[in-house]
Order: sequence, then structure tokens, then C-alpha cells
Amino acid sequence: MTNIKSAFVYNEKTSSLINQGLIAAMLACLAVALKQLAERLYPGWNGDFLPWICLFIAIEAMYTRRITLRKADLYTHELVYRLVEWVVLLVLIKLILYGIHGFDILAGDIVRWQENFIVYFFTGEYAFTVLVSFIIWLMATFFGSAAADLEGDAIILYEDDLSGYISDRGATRRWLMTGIFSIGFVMVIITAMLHRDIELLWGNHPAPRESVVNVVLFFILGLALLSQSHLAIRRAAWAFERIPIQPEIARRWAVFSLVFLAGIALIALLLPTSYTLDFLSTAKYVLEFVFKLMSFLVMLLIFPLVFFFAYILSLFSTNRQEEPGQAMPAMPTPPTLQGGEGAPAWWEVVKSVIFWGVFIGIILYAFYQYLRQNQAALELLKRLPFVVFLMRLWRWLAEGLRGLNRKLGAAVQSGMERLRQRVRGTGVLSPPGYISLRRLSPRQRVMFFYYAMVRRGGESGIPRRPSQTPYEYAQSLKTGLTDADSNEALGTMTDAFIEARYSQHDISLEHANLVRRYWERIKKALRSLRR
Amino acid sequence: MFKDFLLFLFLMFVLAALVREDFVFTIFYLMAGAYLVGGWWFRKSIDAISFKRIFDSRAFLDEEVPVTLEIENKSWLPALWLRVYDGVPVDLSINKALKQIVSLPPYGRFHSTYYLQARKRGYYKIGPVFASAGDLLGLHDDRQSLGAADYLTVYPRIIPLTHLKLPSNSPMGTMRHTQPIFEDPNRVLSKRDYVAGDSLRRVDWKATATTGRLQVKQFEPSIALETVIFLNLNSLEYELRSRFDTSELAIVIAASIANWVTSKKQSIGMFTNGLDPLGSEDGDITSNMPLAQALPARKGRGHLMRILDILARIQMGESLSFVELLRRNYLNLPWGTTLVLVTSQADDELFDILFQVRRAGLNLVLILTGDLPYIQEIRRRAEYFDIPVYSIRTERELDIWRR
Repeated sequence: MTNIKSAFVYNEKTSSLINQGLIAAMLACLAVALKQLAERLYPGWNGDFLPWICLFIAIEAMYTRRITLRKADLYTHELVYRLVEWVVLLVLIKLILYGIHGFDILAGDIVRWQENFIVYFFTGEYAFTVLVSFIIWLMATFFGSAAADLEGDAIILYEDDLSGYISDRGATRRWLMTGIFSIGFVMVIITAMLHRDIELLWGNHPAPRESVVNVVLFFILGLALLSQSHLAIRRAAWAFERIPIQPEIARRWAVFSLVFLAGIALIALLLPTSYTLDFLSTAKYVLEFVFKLMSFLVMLLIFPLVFFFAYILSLFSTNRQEEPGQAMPAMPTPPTLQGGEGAPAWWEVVKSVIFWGVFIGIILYAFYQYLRQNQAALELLKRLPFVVFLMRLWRWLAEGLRGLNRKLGAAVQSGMERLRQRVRGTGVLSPPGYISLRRLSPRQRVMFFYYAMVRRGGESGIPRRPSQTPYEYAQSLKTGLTDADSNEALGTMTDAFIEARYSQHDISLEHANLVRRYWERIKKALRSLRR
Repeated sequence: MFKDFLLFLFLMFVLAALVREDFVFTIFYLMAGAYLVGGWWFRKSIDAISFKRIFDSRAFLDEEVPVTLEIENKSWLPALWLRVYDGVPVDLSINKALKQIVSLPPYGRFHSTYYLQARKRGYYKIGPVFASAGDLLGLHDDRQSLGAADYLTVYPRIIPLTHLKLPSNSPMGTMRHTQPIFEDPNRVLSKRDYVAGDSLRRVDWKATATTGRLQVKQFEPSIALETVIFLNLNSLEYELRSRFDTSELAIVIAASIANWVTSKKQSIGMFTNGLDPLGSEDGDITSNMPLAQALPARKGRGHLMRILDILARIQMGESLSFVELLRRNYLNLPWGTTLVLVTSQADDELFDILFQVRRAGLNLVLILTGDLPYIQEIRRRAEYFDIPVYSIRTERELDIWRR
């Protein structure tokens, strides 16, 4: 149990650290968007320090929230502590600003503070920085509280009676999701507005191409935080069941999720976000490409034939020299098209293909899933006359293609088999219909006559059983063939077959001719048997 | 969660359409990709998980068996989390069944060892391994995977016997015997002077040449104790209240006798009407479990292990009657074979068939397990047929063959 507990505690601590890091980084991304907004509103102002201050403020806020939770450890009242905290933060922010602009102006400012402290202490830049810091501080506190709600595995693990323990990690996760997506939505709107020339807001200043990395990064970190919240829910279930877990799960989870989300973001950045061609134009280019590819393949196939025929025809040519004459007038070349007016650049085509491919793919997938889920609708659709016709057409086409494929396969197979036999030349006997006795060797002839005898015997009602040896079959035939001559021929033929089939020595042509004479005799006897 | 996510995706799409900014599409792709690729990832990764159990598949009673479960990720995709559960039979478990949450990197492995206690003979199914996994964001339903099951055979208790006396009429074996009728010409005991009436086949010509007198060989008597155990496990032939204990005792007796006969380098076989999950013939109609395979008499440790395998797996059931089992098999046994019948009762029908067995030239030993109120009557009848009868009520009573 101790091991289980230590593994849970270790995982929880790791998760907690990762969550706080993610929250701080997310809020820094938000600060970047606010900085961009301020820079757009006040051109010339440089607020590069703002995200760093906000990162520090977010970390401080989450740390302080943890301290204030342990009220017994506080030396003073929580409210007093909070006030103290903010005074320190205000001073620090002020000092950072002096650090950026130079401490030499501090002496002059001190004199002015005596005149009007509020006006000269809270300058525009300082007030804006404090405002943004306060917003970030508040958000960090809320997100930190939510992250803390995802903890408490040890309590679940050890408590037998959990009736008094309330931990709705699912609700926390939903809250986190709403918070992340809401902030993200606001960031998207701010960044989109920054990219527009809105005179009312920005005056006559042209829209700068601000980086959107912070927005994308915010969503990556937000999704990573959501995955961590999912891990917290899983951990609670595992702790409730007291299932041992590996100590490195939280660390691996964070690494895998960040790598995964970064990979997805990379792919998302590569995917086209706009298209220049409509659907029909894209389809046209795709079909053109396919047609060209097929033409190329066909050309590649017929090129050797064309080359061969060209060579044959060239042999019949008379090698006449072209008579010198007037040269053909040069063809007028068409004017070259200016860039942008002719075919679009290949990248535009690719982008359009990807866009329409994804678009159509999504629609088809949606329809497939919908129809799979709604079988009744599918059945209804199947009954429509047009669909019935289409399905029949499809079946007919599919069946036809399948049949064609089968026939082609069989033809190719038999052709290959014939070729193989011809190349090997090892076949004892060729298939019926292709036998030429003159081409057979004496050994093959003897075997041929014997097989012919077996075939005739079968036709005459004395078939050879698979289990019968040649001598056993000879005995069976003898019962049918009564005359002595045939019986003698039968014995000689069987011996000759055995010799031809199993011996290594050569069989003479005379021997084969002798067997042929015996075969003629047996054939006659078998014929009379059939009558 | 899933609905919220979809709603946000929809809103992002609307926003992208309104503001027509590239980066909004990028974020839309990111979110959609996280959902689609995340689902594909965890499905792929759980399909690539393989399970292997490393353990000794045979164990003796009271032995502790370590079982190592090896989980391997055969994919380049990491398995974010896996909930692994390996089912263990209650009769063998020491602690709770193996449950573990693991995370596997690409091509990573995980080992976990747990122990089983062989408390009771039997054929136990270990596993199958159930594994479930989910996606990164919790937007998809968990997916489950099922590993293969393995089997552990726990042998019955074997009590080492020392003084078991089984009758045999089979000459020329390898066991020494006192009756001179079973002389073995391969075992020359000594030589003596020829006396009238001695067979010329017994003359030792070399010794005769050496001594100058006719010498004849004297042989040592020996027997072949070819033994076949007939074990009754038909539940209808056991008394209901003591059925379990009595049948288990019968199995222990059969295993102990088989072990003793094998230790004497003699042949041993076994016929039983018990049910075996790996048997070959039809057996119990109600459970569709086949009858245990019949094992003819053979020598050696390997054959003993085959007998013990069956005795480990075998179960009682409503199957073939013991008399029918005897009737089917005794005719195929060689003359002089000793039949050790292990059963719980002996009725008229059994004695009828035993009479026929006796007439076929086979030796019989009847071992009755459990409490039998009419044991004296059985003894009397068995004595009439010259069949030794042993009544064993507990394992401790096997001590009669250990002194």
C-alpha cells in the first residue's frame, strides 16, 4: 500500500507542477495578445517586458494561493497578507519599469511624486502594466484553484468511507475547458482585429503582420492542460479502485501530450488555410492529371512495339535523300502567357486539392456515420427508385468486372502453366490433344500405350482403382479378357510399363514398337468387350 | 466534454468564416486534429499491445508459482495508459488479482510478477488479460483488448508408498519374486550338477567344459508387474454427502500407486470414467465435457507425468458406469496384468464383472475409499473370489503401505 501511495503522490506532484507551468505559460500567451493590442493602440510603445512580468505574476499568484490555503501557517490575516502581496508586486513592477527605462529618471520622479503622487506614480504605462498584471493574477488564482481541485489522490486512496469527501473533478475539467476556450476565443478575436485596418480603432496606421504564434501556443498549452485534467480524473478512479500505477505516468503523459500536440500543430500549420480554385476547377485539374498519368503509362507500354514496327518499316524504305527545296516557313509561335493568367501554380492546385479533398471527405464521413447510426433512414434510402437503379447498376458493373477479372486470371494462369511446362520440358506426357507419338521417346511411348490401355479398360467397364498396383490391375483385366493371346499381351505390357516407369536404363525403340503391337492386340480385345 | 468540444469547434469554424484569417483555420485544424488523430492514436496503440505470461505450467501441491506478465508495445506509437487486469483463479490466488496501470513508450515493455499458491489439484485457467486504454483528452470511449489465457496444472498429492503388495502372474519381468514357477532364463542365479530329469536346455556347456561335469543353470524367479489402475469417478456411484472428499482420496490413491509402480520400473496404465477438459471421448451429457483419455500400461517417468496430468485435470461427473468401464477395457489387457480398482462401492454387478475378469487371467486388487457400512460383506465376497480388499477412509490410512 505504501508503494501505491508513493506512486500516486509522486504522480500527483508531477502533475501539479506541470499544470502550474502550463497555466503560467498560457497566461503569458494571453499577455502577449494584450501587449500587441496596447502596441496597436499606442504605436511606438514597446511592451516586450509585459509577458515576462505576467509569467512571474502568474507563478507568484499560484504559489501564494497555496500558502493562503494553510491558514494556520499564516502569520497574519489572509486579507492583510493579500494587501502586502500586492504592495510588493506594485513596487516590483515599478522597479522593473525603471530597470527598463533607466534608474536615472527615478530621482526626478521622486520629486514629482511629492507634487501629485497618484498622477506621477501611476503613469499610463505603469497603470496598464498593473491592470494587465492584475487580470493575469486573478486568472492565475482561479486556474490555480481549479488545478488544486484536481488533486487529492492520497485521500481517495486511504479513505474507506468517501461519503464526506466531495471532489467533482469532472466539473473542474468542464470549468477549465470553458475558461480555456473562452480566453482563447477572446484572443482569436483580438488577434483578428489587430490584423484588420479598422480606422475607428487604430486610426490611419496600416495593420502590421503580428505573430500569431502566441495564439496557437495558447491552444496547444490549453489542450495539454485539458489532457492533464483528464489524467487527474483517471487517477481518481484508479485511486478509488486502489490499482497500482507506475510513478512515471504523469511525466510520460505530459511529454507525450506535448509532443503529440506540437506534431498536430505542425501539420495544422502546413495545411492550406485558403483556396484559390473552386470545386469544378480543382476537379478539372485532378482529372487532367490522372489522364496525363494514364497516357504516359500507355505510352510507356506501347513504346517498344512502336519502336519495333518503326524499325521494320524502316527496312522497307528506299533511303531517298530529301531533295533540297524551299524550307518550310517557320510556324508563328503563340505569345507566351503572362504569369497568373495561365494555369495556376502547382502549389495552388495542391492546396485546392487538399482543401476540397478534406471538405468532401468530411461530408462523406458525416453522411456515412449518420446513415450507419440511422438504419431506418438507410433502409428508406435504399427503397428510392433512383437509388435502386444505381445499386443495380453498381452490382452489374461489379459482377461484370469480377467475372472479367476471373476470366483474365484463369487465362493468364493457364498460359503461364503452359509456358512453364514448355520451359521445363519435364512433363512425362503432354495433355491429351497435344501428343505426337513421333516426338515421344521410347520410354514415353511405352508409358503412353499403357495409359491408353488403362483408359480403354475404364471405358470397357474395368476401371483401375487408385489403390491398385499395375499387376493388380492386370489381374482385374484378365478376368474380362478371356483369350490367351490378350492375357499374354497384358502381362508383357504390364512388365514393359513397370520397366519404363521405374528403371534407369534406356528403352529401345524396338521394345516400344513391340509394346505397340501388344497394345493393338489388347485394344481389339477391349473393343470386343465393349460390344 | 465531447459536446463542449464540438461546440467550440463549430464556433471556431464560424469565427474562421467571419474573420477569414488563416490562423483561425490553423487553430481549427489543431483542435480537429487533436480529436481525430488522438482517437486514431490510442486505437492503434492498444491494437499493438501484446501480452505474454511466463511461468511453469505444472506445479505440485503447496508449491508457490511465480507468474510474470510481460506487456509489450509493438508499435512506434506510445501507449499513454493501459489498465491491465489479469484474472487469477480464486483457489490459487495469494493476493488480489493483478491490476496495474502502465504507460509504455514506443516499443517499450513492462513486467509484473505475482504469485499463485497451488492449494488444490486441478487445471486452472489463468487470464485472459483484459486491457483498456483511452485517449489523451477523454473525448473517445475507452477501447478494450483481450489477451490469451494460459493454463496451470496442479498435480494431486502423491504419498510415497514403500510396502505396497500387488499380486502378479506375469513371468519374466524385472521384479524379483519368491515363487519358483516364475523363473526367468535371463537371470542366472547359480549352477549345480546335472541330475536326471533336468532339461538339456539348462545345461551350461562352458561350465561343463571347465569343471568336467555336466552343469545346469539355476534361474532367479521374476515377475512383470504390469499394473492398470481403474479409477471410478462417476458421481452417481459416490455417496452424496462425502462425494468430494472420497473422490479426491481416490485420486490421491491412484497417483500414489502410479508413482510407486513407476519407481519400481514397472509398467502402469490408467482407465477412468472421470471427465477431463482435454479428453478425447464424449463424457458428461450435461456439461459436454469429454471422458479422460485411457492410458495403456507403459514404463517411465514420462508416462507417469501423463497419468499425473490427467489426475490433475480430472473431474467427477455423471458419466460411464464403473462396471461398463471395466467391461469395455479388460479384454484388451494382457494376461497376468494386475488391475487396481479404486472405487467407493462394490455391488453385485461389480462382483459379476470381477468374476469374469478373474477368469480372464487378470489379478485384482480392490481399494474402497470412504466410509462403507457394509464393508464386511464386501470383504467376505471378495475373499470368495480371492480378491484382496483395502478400505481407505483417510489419507492417513495409506500408512499401511508405508511401514
